[in-house]
Amino acid sequence: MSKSAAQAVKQKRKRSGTTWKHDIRLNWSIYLIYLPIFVYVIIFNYLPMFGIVMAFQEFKPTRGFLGSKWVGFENFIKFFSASEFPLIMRNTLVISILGLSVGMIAAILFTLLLNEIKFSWFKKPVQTITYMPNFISAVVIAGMVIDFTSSNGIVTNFLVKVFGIPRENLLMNASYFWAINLLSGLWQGLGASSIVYVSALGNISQELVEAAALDGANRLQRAWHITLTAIRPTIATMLIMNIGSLLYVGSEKILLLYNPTIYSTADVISTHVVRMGLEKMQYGYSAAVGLFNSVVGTILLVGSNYLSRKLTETSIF
Amino acid sequence: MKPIKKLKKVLALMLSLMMLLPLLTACGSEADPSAASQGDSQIAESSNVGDAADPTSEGSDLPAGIDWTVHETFTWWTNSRANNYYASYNDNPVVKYLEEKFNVTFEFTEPVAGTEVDSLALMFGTGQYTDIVAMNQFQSNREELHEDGVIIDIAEYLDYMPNLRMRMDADPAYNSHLYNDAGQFWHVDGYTEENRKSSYGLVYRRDILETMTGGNVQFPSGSDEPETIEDWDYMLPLFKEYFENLGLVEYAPLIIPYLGFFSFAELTDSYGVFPYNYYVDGKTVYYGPAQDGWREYVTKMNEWYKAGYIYQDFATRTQDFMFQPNPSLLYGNGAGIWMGVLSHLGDAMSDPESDVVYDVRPLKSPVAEGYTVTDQLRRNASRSDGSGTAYAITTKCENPAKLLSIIDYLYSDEGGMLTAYGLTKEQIPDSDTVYAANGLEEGAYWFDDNGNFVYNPLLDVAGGKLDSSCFNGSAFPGYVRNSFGNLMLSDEVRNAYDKWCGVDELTDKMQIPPLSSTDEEEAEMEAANPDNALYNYPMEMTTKFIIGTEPLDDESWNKHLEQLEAMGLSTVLKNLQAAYDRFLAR
Amino acid sequence: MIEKLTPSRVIFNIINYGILTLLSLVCIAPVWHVLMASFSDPRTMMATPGLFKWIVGKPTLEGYRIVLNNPSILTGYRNTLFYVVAATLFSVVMNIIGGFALSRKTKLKKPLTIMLIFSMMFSGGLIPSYMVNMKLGFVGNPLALIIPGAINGFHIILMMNAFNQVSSSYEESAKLDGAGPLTILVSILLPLVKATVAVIVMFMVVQQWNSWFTASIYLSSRRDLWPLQLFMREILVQNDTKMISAAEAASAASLVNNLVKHCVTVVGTLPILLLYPFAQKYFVKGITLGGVKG
Repeated sequence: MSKSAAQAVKQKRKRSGTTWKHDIRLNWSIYLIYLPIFVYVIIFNYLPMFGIVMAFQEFKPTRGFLGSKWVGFENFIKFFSASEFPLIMRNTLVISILGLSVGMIAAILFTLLLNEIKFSWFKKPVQTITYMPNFISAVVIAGMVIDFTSSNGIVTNFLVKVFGIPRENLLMNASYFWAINLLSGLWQGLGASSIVYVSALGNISQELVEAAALDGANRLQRAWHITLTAIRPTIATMLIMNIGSLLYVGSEKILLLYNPTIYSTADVISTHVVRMGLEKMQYGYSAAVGLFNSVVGTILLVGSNYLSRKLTETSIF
Repeated sequence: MKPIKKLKKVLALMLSLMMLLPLLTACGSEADPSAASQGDSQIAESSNVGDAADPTSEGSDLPAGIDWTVHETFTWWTNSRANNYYASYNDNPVVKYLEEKFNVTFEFTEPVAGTEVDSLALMFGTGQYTDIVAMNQFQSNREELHEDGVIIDIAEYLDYMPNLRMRMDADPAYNSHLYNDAGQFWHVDGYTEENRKSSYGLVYRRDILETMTGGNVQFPSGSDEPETIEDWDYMLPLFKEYFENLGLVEYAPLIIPYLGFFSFAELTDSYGVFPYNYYVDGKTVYYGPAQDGWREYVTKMNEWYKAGYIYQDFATRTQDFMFQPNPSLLYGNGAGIWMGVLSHLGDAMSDPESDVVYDVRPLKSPVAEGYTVTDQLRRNASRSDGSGTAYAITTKCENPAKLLSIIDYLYSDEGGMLTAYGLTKEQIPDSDTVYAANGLEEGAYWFDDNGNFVYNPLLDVAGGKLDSSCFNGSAFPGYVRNSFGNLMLSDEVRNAYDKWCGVDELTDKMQIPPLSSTDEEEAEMEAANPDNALYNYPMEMTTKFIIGTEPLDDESWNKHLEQLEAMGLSTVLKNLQAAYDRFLAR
Repeated sequence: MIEKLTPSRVIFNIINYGILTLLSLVCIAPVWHVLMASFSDPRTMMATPGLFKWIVGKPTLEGYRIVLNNPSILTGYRNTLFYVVAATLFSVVMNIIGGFALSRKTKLKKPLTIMLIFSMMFSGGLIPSYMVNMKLGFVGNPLALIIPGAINGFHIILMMNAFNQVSSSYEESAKLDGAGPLTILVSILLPLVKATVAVIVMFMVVQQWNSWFTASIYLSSRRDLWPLQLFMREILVQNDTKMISAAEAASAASLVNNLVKHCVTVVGTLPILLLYPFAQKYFVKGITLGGVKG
């Protein structure tokens, strides 16, 4: 080995640093570069965290954090003992897991399919167009979904003619809601969520693909070995991040779509909190629910990160 | 090699410092918005300060007991009144008039429409409240605000408010409305004269009935317009047949909101109940969904739904406007009865391309068999302003006496003209630009040679295009002197108000007024009804009963009553009744 | 690359193109509908249910005339442009640097990453954040739209991933040449992760373009500083007003208002839709330039 190569190896070993002194001497510039971000996170993310104390208080804005009554775990108990708690937990988990799994699979499939298109005059417009619904506000999309699923709406008509289901308003039948919510979510979000994967593809070396083709790998093998492998870290990252927000099912879209006849499958944690807050401003309660979401989410995140590291050797931390 | 290395490290250092810079400048620049706008208004006001140098010489119409020579600023927090004529309420001409007259400056903070609740919370949470705050979006307990020393007790300042006191003495109901049980009151709001009006109400398509009966409409009750449920039983099949003859797939003889009832108790008060909450009849507190009348209501609705008279998809229309459900049915000649607005009346909705000429007429809430008109609920429960904008004065206000004096002026007859109509030509202040910019140099109104009240024809209330509520002082608390404007109402509008609010003079029943409960009462109610279930439950059950997912037999009804009981109904009623008794005694 | 056209390949192509075309049609339908509606005759439009295939009734430019004559719209555009550029610039630089630093194998890498993730999971809520920002002087200050939302943990992680994927041989050879970390970042690594940078730029631009809530809280009194979306939101009447004046009810129910809503949506969304194809070429094209063998 040449001298410079030996030096390079030595440097590499040193970079992971066994002692603090070594580490600081080697990496001080990196730490310095990161410093503003560190400060930023402290100020804008950690400092406001004192507000989490609301979850343990009967918080009133006028009394503030120091003046509001301390109630310990009462807010949590109230949340867990609500008669609908099992129901909303179930709905939240189902909707969330459904959205996550189907959403990711659809996005990845879409990316792979798109990747197989060789004509950019088709590829580019398709990419642009699928991204468009993301910009239409949820209100407009919800209005359309309500129209399409009405007793004589387009989707209902189609399903009646093709699958022979009984004619009714689809949003008044609780069993359809999960599907409707999932599909309308895909409609709006597929283009956006696939961007991350498409760009990861963009980092693949074209030479690698050519070499593989020359070696006789067919389409499927190429897709599996090269493409999927290349975006595997991205997939793992997205999966971990999404699992971390499993309990967070945003209320905006569901609030727009649901109605009292289908609460049994449509009511989730966040919509329940909104409905409860209608008469009083229940800050402590919603903070408690939020804290619950965060804690569970973190546990799931750490768990999936660990699993990912064991199984695929990629992880966030 | 080494010097370059060093240079790179220095560059790294500099880059990182540059990153930190924005954070430092952010800390440094304490941008104070009130300072900025105060500067602006000072400049604007400087010309006025000269004019109003000696306000007491303007005439002795300024209230005594206050030093009007000192120029003060009052900050207001009020709901957004975004419009196309001026950017902030500071520019409202009535505001300018008052500023000149009383030698003050008003500064309005308006949160963006829809963010009021958050904005209020932030304002209170950070302790940065304005002098006076609009309270209608504040959903928590207002008593607590007083206890916490955030708002003041206006009753202590009543000496400065002779006009308000005059109104209160003249109307005991208003008295009860303002005071709480302990003889305090913390809000001032609008007191409306002749408030028998509503922007929306039930309407029906008369022309369809005429077409179907060949011009010979015979209501079972014998009157010209539908009055009873039987009249509706007569109308609805006619509507249905008409739509089916047209070959429409989607139609609705009657459109009801997604909750299964109308929020102002139309149709439910045919059976004497208010659908989703508590109501009173001058003595007792009732809970709508527990009454037999409610059962009769949902039974009837269920009958109509099964017959196809009610819009089949009504339960999913959560995104429709309350007063304009499913426009494609309304405008597509597919709806018979709905909750509409004044602008729907007559033939306004007709399609110029087709030969169907609409005749939309206002519709009273019908009376059911076994009930009378006195069982119905008042549309306008109290004399206070329909907009429900109550203002509280905070403890941040340094001179509440002065502020309340100014507000008191608005309770006078003269002030009532300002809030209801706006300014006359003579009253337009020099600093105003808005009236001039919109062609209103002659003022918002005047009295002609015969002493008759005349609106400026450019205003919408007189058939013009300008939104009159932007040119008067309707955002302020005060006396809203509708009597003149009411004379100007067209027959059509008057008829609509008759139908929609006519029952107000005939009945004692109304929605429960805001009560103050003691801490113990609140705690007991909270313990009995923790999830707010009593409020949410009827919203779900009504639709279920109507659609038929819940049966309507005795067994199911008893189960329903038991469920209500399990949610703590009697405890809540007991406590509300106690509070209501105190209310009546105020 | 030359492709052999086997029968299975042809079938696959047909299916692929078919699926993607179908998907595109489904996705463009709502956008097309809004566009068509914005030119449609107000009254005919009210009476017509379902998706529009073409302009309904007599075409009209009335809606656009009203919207574009509104001075707030122009102000909104100008402000949004400023916010988008400034916020994206600031944010992307910070996120790239963050992702870079966290991708280096340092002793603090793991704790710092955990610290970042943790901050994404837990939040104090609106009131505490507002209080902190208030103390920093952001109330009524346009910087409130630029600085507080800039660091996005998710973007940092995306960048971190991208940097991790770059083969270490690039870095090694640069270090052999005596380059410091900043040089490595700027000259070597950034060009290699252009696609991911393009992604976070795009995300940030879209987020900034669509944002209105932050402005409504911090800039509520400074209408001259409002972004476009906030004006748009004001124009679109709320559905849920219980007590509104006769004039407001009439206006909300008016035919023209319905038309204007559609025009406002188009005006507020079109620019960013047109921007996307331009950004696309950066996603798709990330072919490594030169580089290293093996």
